[in-house]
Amino acid sequence: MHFSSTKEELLNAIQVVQRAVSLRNPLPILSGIKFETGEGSVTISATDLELGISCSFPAEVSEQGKTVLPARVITELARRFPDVKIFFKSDPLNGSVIIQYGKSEASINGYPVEEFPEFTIPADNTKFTISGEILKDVISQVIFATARDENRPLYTGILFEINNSTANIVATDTHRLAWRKILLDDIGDLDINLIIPGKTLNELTRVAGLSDRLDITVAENQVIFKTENICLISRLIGGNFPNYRQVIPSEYISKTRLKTRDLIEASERASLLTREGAPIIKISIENNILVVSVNTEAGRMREEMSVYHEGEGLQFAFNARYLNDALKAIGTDEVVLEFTGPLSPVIIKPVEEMEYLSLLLPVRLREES
Amino acid sequence: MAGEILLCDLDAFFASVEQRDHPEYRGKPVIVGGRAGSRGVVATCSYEAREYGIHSAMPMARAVRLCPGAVFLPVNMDHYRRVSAQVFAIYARFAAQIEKVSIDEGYLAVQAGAGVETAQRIRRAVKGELGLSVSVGISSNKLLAKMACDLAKPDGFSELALGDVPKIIWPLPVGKLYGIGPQTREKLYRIGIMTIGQLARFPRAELIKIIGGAAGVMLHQRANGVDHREIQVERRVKSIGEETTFPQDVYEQDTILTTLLELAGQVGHRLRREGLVARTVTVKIRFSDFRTITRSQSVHGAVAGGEAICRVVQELFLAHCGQPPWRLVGVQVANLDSWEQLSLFEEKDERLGKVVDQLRDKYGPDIVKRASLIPSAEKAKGEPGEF
Repeated sequence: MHFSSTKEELLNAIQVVQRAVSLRNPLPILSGIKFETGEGSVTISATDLELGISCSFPAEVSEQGKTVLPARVITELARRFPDVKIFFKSDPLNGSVIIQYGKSEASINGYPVEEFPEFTIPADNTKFTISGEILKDVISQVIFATARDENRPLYTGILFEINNSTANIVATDTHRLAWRKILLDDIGDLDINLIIPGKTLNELTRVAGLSDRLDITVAENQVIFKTENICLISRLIGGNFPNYRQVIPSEYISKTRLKTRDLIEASERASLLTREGAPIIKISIENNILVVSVNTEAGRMREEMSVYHEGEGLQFAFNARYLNDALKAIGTDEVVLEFTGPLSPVIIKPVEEMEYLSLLLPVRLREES
Repeated sequence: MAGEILLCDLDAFFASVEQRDHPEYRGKPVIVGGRAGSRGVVATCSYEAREYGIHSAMPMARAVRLCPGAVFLPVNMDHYRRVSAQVFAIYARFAAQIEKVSIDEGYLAVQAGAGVETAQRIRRAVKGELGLSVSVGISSNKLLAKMACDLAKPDGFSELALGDVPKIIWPLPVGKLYGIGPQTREKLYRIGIMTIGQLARFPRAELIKIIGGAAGVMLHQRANGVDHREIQVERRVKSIGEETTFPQDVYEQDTILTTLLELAGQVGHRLRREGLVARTVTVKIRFSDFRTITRSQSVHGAVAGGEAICRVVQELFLAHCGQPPWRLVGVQVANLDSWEQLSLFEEKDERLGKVVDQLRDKYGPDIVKRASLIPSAEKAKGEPGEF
């Protein structure tokens, strides 16, 4: 193997793939990044067996070959290289790789390349395309509702329910749920349900550009996202996603319209007085005044804001973090909260007509009503 | 202790709540307690009822005889607990250190000199916001605050300084001193001590001979108005557990699983009575050689129901039970909280749990049992044909 590239091209590619490197995995090979030359380009890849990312960058290749280098060393080195042409060359004597930059050189010991897991794509698969801009937008609106708890893998994923030209995209950790519906053009008569790990989609939004078209391939228990130079391959989550349609209320008993920013700021201030891990705040609405309050061992706080309320007055307790996650994901200046009962979900949605909403369940206080 | 201590005690709490919520009961004797026909006792009665000689802990049957025309009401504990929480939330505005003694009584620590002012403000707030009257005793220690409160009742406040003890406390009958029950009172009567003052001046060494060391010293101090007890701010329950030691070593897993079901039910009941939910569940297993292990599991969200607790402990038991025989199993819940994040998809057997709790609160833990916990001989008695 022998190639050269610029520091910038190399570093960009490394930063894309290094998120899939698994430094704590018992398999040492997974702490490496694989380099493989092609025609006028080099493809590097990393995987933790759940998620694999590869990225190609232009290079002058004078001898084909492949190698696996320790991710930590190569990432930190690439960051610190001077801004010159970098040469990579295998040393046939001991299997190490000699890296030359300017008048300096380093020799890095690699891993046996044949141990690196292959990204295989089963032949029998389904393909469709989606715009990077739309996908990023959708993911940012629902991903907050995924669970972080790995003991409940189903809820760590996002459901893509694709039927003909529409896709329902849903995430829930059972305490909240976010739903968005989008139209997909030219995907034919596709009918599939995918549960894609939240982590995968998070990485995808990080590496994919807004202008990219994403080619999506679904095969058995895997999904592959491809742009011009990046490929992200992930396992899918098995199991049946809960019936989200059943829990989205079709009616409400009262509703409030308010400035998103006001409520976010008030509940952030109020949660400062709550115990860590339990940011429980109370919200009551009466006569177009919304009151956020807490009363804890640390102290008391009460904030009032004007809202536009239709229907009966209400009183609720919420996890402030959950509430703010939902409010921040909406991204509009004003938000509508629709209430369905004191211990039932609150529907949070933008004022504008949009096929997007999230549900948040209140907290039941055992001592006080 | 440099500050002052307030004892806030709600007047005839349960009865006052009922009179507040039902204007038609106002001005009438109201008796809250067990069923009139049963062996239940009076939990609280209104001041109107006290005029008939009725007091709490009196057998219900006797109360009925004394005042047949009274309004008799069952104990609506859930409701009183909620109101109590509202009252303590008001106290929390006035004092950082609060010791909750019971549902209607709490000690508050305030700065020296602030006692009377705080007492008045608390009484105004509780009356104004919740429509209830609270009596407040103010002093330099818990004992005198309590005695002051007794003197202030109903619907008043009073302050008692150490210097007031000889004039105000000493003439009182010795049984009025906090910590003296009927038995000690009889002992004291026998040696001629009738008033708190006589107790205070009685030679301490003699007193210790008669009623014992620690109790003698403590009572002598108290009769002199001395009390060193601090405010116990944290009375929060940290964990709740139940365990069973078997009369004989047990070899059958099914027996253990059934016992765990029963214990989990009891733990769940106590948990809900405290108004709490748990985030950690522990099983305790003791083998016949006395080797004891505990294994815990954090649950997603929280549990409060016996069934949910049972699922976790049975799973833990099956995973760690090793080889029989076993001689003890226990169920414990910890990481307790007073709030619960509701869920969209989990099923709720809550309504059933609530009914069972009410029955158990009223008639004791054995009133409702799971069919699998009833021995088969007893079960046979209840064949459907008999109903």
